[in-house]
Amino acid sequence: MKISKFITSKLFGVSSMALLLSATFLTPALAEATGDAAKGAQKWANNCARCHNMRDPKEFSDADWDTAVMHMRLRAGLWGVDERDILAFLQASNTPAVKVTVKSVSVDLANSGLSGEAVYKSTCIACHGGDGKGAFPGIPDFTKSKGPLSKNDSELLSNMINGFQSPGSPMAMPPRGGNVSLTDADLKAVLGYMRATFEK
Amino acid sequence: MNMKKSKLKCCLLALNVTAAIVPAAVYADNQTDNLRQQVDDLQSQVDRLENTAAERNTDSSFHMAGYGSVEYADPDSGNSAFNKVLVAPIIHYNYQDWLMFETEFELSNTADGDTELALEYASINLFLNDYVALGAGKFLSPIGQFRQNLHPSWINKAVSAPAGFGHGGAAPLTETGLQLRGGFPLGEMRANYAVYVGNGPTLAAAVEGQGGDYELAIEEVETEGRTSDPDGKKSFGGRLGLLPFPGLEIGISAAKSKATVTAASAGGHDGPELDIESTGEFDYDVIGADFRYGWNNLELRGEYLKTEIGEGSSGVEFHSDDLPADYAGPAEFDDVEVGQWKAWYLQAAYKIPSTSFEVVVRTSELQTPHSGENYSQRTLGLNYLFAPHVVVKLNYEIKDYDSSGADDDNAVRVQLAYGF
Repeated sequence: MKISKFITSKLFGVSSMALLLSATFLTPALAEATGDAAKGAQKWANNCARCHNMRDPKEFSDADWDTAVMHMRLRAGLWGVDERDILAFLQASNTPAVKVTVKSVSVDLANSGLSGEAVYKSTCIACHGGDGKGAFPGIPDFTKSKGPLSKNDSELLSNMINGFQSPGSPMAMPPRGGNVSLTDADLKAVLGYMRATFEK
Repeated sequence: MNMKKSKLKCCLLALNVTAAIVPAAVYADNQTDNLRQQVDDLQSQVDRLENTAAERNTDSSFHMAGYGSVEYADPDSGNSAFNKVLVAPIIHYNYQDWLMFETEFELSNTADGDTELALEYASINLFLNDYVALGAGKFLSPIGQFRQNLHPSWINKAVSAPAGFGHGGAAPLTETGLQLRGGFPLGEMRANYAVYVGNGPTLAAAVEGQGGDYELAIEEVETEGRTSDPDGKKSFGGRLGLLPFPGLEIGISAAKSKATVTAASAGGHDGPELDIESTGEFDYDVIGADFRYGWNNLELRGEYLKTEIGEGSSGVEFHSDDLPADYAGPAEFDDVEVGQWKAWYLQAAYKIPSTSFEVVVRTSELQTPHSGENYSQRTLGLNYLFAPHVVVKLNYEIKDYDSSGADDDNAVRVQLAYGF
């Protein structure tokens, strides 16, 4: 009885490992070579806080993040595509924010192909949250009357384009929210969405 | 007259030209300054990108991470002391995007001023595809969450580990063998998994004499990954985590193996170690469940683990020349007192909005076959985050032992932790 029980349990273990190894070699490897920073922002917000506080992207260089995110893939059971997307976001976001309050920018407002809501929900929501109050501590509250939206459009657009460190926030907002594919017009559109949705 | 008119016209023309040129020249100077500034900015960016490209233009990357912490404890009974200094360097070395070697050491000082060094883990990991990584070496046990992901001091919300989740508790610590880890989509859900095969645990027993009767009891399940397998039976186990939506993770864990007695002491685990031979083995089973829910500034966690040493025979034989002089018991034991080691905790952490403070409450309990070791631990804490990875924790810890003979051990604990 004991022998058959042990053999059964051993067979179960060996079968499980064999099944997983089979799945391993039958699954196509590394389908995508590069990551999507916009998706990475959302995945970063969803996954990293499962274990620890969110670390500032500008804490590490591109090469350091390369290795650190690979380590986190192991720890958190992330998929390969998650690793590449999060890495793309962190490497796009680790350039230190411009120190000056307002930097003059030449804003090209032609042809935004996206609605402000679409931009917000694909890029900004990861940190700023669906309600605009901030998805985690240190992110400023858009709904406060003296919050970020009390600034004028020119200053806010400058901050969005160049990146900005809010006073008291543990991390800086990366240029274009970490999504370099967003145009000036996309940012203008999302600013309009934020004013219409969150401003008091 | 005509000559004078011509000269006047020339003068006026020259004046007009000058009036037109001077502002244009000033404007051109401004433009040049702007362009020079832009060229300088671009040059800086090019330099930075060149440096980055040079840094990344290698197949191998090296990264050193880890954490360090310093603790101070003021117990109700006993003297206050700076009671722990710990550094745990983690080295990552990856080759291209398919291989990573990672290792963590743990160095800490002792009450006597000595230094302890431990190899927490060291494994080579191959990323076979987007969903599977194969690891080989010594790795943190994937049973439950606290031991594999939450124990580093800058991540742990409290100063101490929950009852039963440290060394000598109910939670397996590390394993030596092979491991598959990864994640996969499960309908609308995300899932992650870890399964392993390893050498498995061993058992530490103790002989205790009561009224002339001597009894051999399992004192501790030793789950630090070792490079031998005394019972010859491999251990199988793993964890499956399900994330129905972002913010909620539910995990279940299990492990199965055989374990044999490899160490014994006389008169409890603090007694002299005995030289033994063991031919027996016992069933070893672990089950566990864990959850984590995060909502805005609030995080709730909980975990339960049960380790059971079940049917078997010890086959323990003592070498007679090693026994204490006053020992009158048998030199061989077949029957051993076995049992269950159970531990659980519940934890709530709330970051106070617009501040760097975090309030933490945790309750935990350890139940073992030995009533003198069973206790519950409640912690009330206030953390201050200098940065997301630099935290100072102030805890009041209440430790209640079930046994009336054991002294409760309440303490104020302060810890400064830095994850690097």
